[in-house]
Amino acid sequence: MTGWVGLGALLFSTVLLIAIARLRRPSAARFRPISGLTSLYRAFGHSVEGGTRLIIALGGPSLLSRSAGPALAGLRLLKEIAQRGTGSDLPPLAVSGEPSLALLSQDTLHAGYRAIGAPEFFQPVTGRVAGLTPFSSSAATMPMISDEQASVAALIGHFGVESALLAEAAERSNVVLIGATDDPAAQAVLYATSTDPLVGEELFAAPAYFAGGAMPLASLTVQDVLRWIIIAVVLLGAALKLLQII
Amino acid sequence: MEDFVACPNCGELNSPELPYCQYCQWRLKPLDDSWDPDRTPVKPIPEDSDSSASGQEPLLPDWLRDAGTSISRDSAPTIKPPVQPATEVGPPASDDLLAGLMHEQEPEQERVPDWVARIIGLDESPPGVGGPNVDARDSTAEQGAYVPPFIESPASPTGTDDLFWEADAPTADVDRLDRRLQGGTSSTEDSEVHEWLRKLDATASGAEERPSQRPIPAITDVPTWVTQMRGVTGDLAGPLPGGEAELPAWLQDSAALEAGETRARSTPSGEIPAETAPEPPLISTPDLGSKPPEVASPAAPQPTPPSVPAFSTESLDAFDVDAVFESMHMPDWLADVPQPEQPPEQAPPSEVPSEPAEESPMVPVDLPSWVEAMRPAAREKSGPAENREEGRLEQVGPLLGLQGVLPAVPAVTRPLNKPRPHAMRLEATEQHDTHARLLEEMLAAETRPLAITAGRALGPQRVLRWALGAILGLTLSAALVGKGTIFPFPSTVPIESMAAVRGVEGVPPDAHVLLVFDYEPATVGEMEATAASLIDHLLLLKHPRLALISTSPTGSLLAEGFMSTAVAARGYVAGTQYVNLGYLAGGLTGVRSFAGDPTQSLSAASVLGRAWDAGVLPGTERLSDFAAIIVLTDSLESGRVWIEQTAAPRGSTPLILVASSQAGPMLLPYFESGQVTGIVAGLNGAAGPEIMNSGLPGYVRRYWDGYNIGLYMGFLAILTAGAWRAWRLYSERRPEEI
Amino acid sequence: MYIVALIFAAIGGLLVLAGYFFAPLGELQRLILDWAIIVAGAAMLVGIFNLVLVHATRIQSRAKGSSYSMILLLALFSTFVFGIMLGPDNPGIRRLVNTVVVPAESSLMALLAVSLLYGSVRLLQRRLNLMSGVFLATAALMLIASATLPFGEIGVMSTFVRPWLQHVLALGGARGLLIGVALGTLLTGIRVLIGADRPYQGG
Repeated sequence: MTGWVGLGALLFSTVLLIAIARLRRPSAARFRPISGLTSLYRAFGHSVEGGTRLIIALGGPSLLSRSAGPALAGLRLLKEIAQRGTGSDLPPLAVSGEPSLALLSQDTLHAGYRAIGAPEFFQPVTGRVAGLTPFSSSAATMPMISDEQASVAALIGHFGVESALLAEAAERSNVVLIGATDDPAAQAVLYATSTDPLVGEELFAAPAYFAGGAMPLASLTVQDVLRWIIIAVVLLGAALKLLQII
Repeated sequence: MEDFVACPNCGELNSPELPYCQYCQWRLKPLDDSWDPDRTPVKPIPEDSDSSASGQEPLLPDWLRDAGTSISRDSAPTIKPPVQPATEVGPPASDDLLAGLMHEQEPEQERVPDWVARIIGLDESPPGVGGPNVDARDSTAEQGAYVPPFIESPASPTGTDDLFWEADAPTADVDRLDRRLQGGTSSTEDSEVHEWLRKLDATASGAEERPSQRPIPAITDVPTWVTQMRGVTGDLAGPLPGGEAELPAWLQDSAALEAGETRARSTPSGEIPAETAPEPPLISTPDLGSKPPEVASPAAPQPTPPSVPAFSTESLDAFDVDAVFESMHMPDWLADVPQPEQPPEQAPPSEVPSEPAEESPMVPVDLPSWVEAMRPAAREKSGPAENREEGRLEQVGPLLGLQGVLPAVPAVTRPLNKPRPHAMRLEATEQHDTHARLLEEMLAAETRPLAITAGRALGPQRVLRWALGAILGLTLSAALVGKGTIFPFPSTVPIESMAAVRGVEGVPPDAHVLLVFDYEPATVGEMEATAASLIDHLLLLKHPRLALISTSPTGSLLAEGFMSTAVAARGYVAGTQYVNLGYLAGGLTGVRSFAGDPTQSLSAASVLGRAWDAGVLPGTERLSDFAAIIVLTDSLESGRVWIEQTAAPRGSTPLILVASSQAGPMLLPYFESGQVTGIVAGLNGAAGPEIMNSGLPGYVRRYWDGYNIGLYMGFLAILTAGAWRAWRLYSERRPEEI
Repeated sequence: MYIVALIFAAIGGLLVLAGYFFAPLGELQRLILDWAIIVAGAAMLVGIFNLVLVHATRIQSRAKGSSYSMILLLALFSTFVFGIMLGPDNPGIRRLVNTVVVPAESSLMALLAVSLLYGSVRLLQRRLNLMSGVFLATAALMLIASATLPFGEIGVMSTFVRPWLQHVLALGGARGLLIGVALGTLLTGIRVLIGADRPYQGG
């Protein structure tokens, strides 16, 4: 029964996503302000203007794990940033804690160079594996924040509490750190230590906020629709439970 | 000694050859004698030149790109010297005819959009560059107008089709118009053509008069940008009444034009070209209120800025642009049109707008919908919030002190560099608007002294960090070294911990148990302390054979370490009492694959898969063959994966979690819902199992004092920081209140 | 090439997904998952190669800290060789892990405690608002409620405050966050499945 409910939700989400992406004009979208994304956007502009580097850490989940979603959202954001930041003096640096993610980040960065017509300037080491465990990855990323002339560091993906180390390294180097992760414990850590945290599903909104586009915007809309459905179901279930119907 | 000419505007001396002042760009020569027919103002660009509009404006529709390209190819060879100066009242000529369009002042301040200028070869120059505006206007008027090739060839059905199809016009109108264009001309339409031509003849009687002295007949459906493309400064604000209905149908009948049956002899001033003139009945009159304000309101006459074809390699002041227009080769149907013989004031009512036009030629006009669609759309005004954001003062970086340099909001509506597949008109206008606003704000900020308040940089407070680190390190080290028992264990054991102990005790003796080591080296201290008592309890009571596995690359090494340290007292030997199955690659996918068929999955995923066949775990081929599954994890993700992905394959096999203190609370719902047999979470949760295991191996007790001291120190630090901050706030506000 | 990758991704994803709901496709699902696991394992080697490349570049360019990069490469190669030769259950390899890897990461974990405490202390200085106050008050309550006093427990704290905060407020909020994340993950997965997002080939 649960499986069929899941399948139904999946199909419903797919149909809704495609329909909204087809029918709704992206320009009609209205966003609520998310300070973390606004800060990231401005900091990115500062980094390009100032000739400093932006570091995007994609975390360490395997793409075959449940946390692949945040990592894919991070890759999507990396794509947007790569297309706009590759012309900077110091192009963006993508750091991963998982090899397959590093490969995809290299591909994404390369695509950014292709988009500006300068694929020969792409350096594979700008998409790199920092370490194979969360803490080793963080330990390897910390000196990058201080040594790579970075002014912005964005943690978009799956991070644990070790993200506090990155936050502290960023503060020591006067680097703006925007943290977004799917781990609640890490969100609590980043709330206390980062410049601007993204809470919960806000990290999935980052690509849409940065680039718009029909599909990311439709995705956000479907998320809202599904969220309201879940709220209704939860409230209904609670009411039925209170009334001892179920 | 060379003679110089003093500029009447600035007084500077200039060479007499110069048509404009080289300092202020004021016209030095009268318009009627400034044209040098030997001069070739326009140089044809090479065929392969990429400076054309088509190469610069990827968003342009094909017909516009083609138009720009054809201009660059076609205009230069067809340039001819003007037949006669425009000031001379001479016989009707095509140049004069077009020159008559020029003297009506621009009724509105709308400028040619950059993209249009690039396409048609015009280039807007700032005032002063190309000479005073008035002069430029006169020059344009008296020396003819530039007619783009697609206007010169009204008989080209292809061009006409492209024009209309590419325009962002209402589909219904376009469809209807296209049907009319392809369907030939009916007899009724022919009669309308001839009637219209007769009126043109009557109008042409006034052609001998100087065009500037003639009011221009109202133009109804001429889009401003089309007029400016031709250099026409005609009145676009004329009223509509009757105008649309009187428009000639021959303009849309290409076949008739080719046959020469409807040879036009005169074109009223500002009359739109045949391709752009829609057939009146087909075009709905747009609502006046929907038009941009600059169109709807009769603005004061404004001089037309001088323009130069974009494809010219010469600068604007190097030649007279208007001469180019005058020298353009005109199509036969235009060249043969006689000059109007009567002033436009006496034009037939069908040609001249009735009441509003007689009262004032600057009456707003309803533009057809297709023209409205091709016009740059009304500018979308930015909201107040956005303006407020745009005006933010940069407080860090190289832009320190500048205001509004960087956009403050994500580029959902304003992409930085990636063109959007939206309607081009909206984006162009918005971009221009944004850039202009930013530029204005920057210029305004330059002249306005601003008190730059340096942001309060938080800055690393090394002293605080070092102090906290030192206090924590010293205190906790002392507690660990002292091995004291100051702080007692909690008196109550959590339910989930008790359930975990019960689950372990329910394992049959000598059964097979799967131990999953999913934690990182960083959490070895906590995880071993948390798990040791429970595993020790299991090994002590039931002597099971163990299979160790990990989804972390370092997990198998940590598993070996656990067996050799935490439960070393049980003396388990690798290969006989337990087997290390190694690293299970693939994360969630690996776990699912392993749960489905452990032997097959391992043989594919791990080089240590052969251990399965070593005889340590006989008869254990499925996940449900294990007597219990114990997952040691420091992350919520890993715990959830093992709970959810093994739910069906493990059947009724108990699943017990040993989690870190950060992951434990998140996994509690699985215990409450019955998906997990028990959970031991952190040192608090492990205290109970250690008590029940007779205090063995004593890891929790060893850490308990230091753990509690650390908790208190954290509490005190937060409390102190809060109190300090509150006092600071109070002390900062108190002087203000006083 | 994009089309080929897109077709492979979509078909693979749909088959794995269908395997969850339709039993006959279970075998096919398992086969594809095994392929994915092999690819993931191979990617690990590629990742290590990337790590080597990065640090070799640093050494070659004599960048800041290149000596550490050299040490890293030496340690990497020696561990790799000995690990392959001796296996993970060898006492020497275990000792290597227990004396190098575990202490290094554990010290990072210890450092994390200082960083978190420092971040909490600085939070009000960084963001002075109501939510920061609530955050710190909750953290302080949880800390004090998790501890015991030398003479016993703090009754109401350990029996009521901590369970209520942990199981009601914190867990409820965390569930909400997780549901939101799950929805985002679901939609992200769907976008990849239908080819709207192509993380491969920079799409």
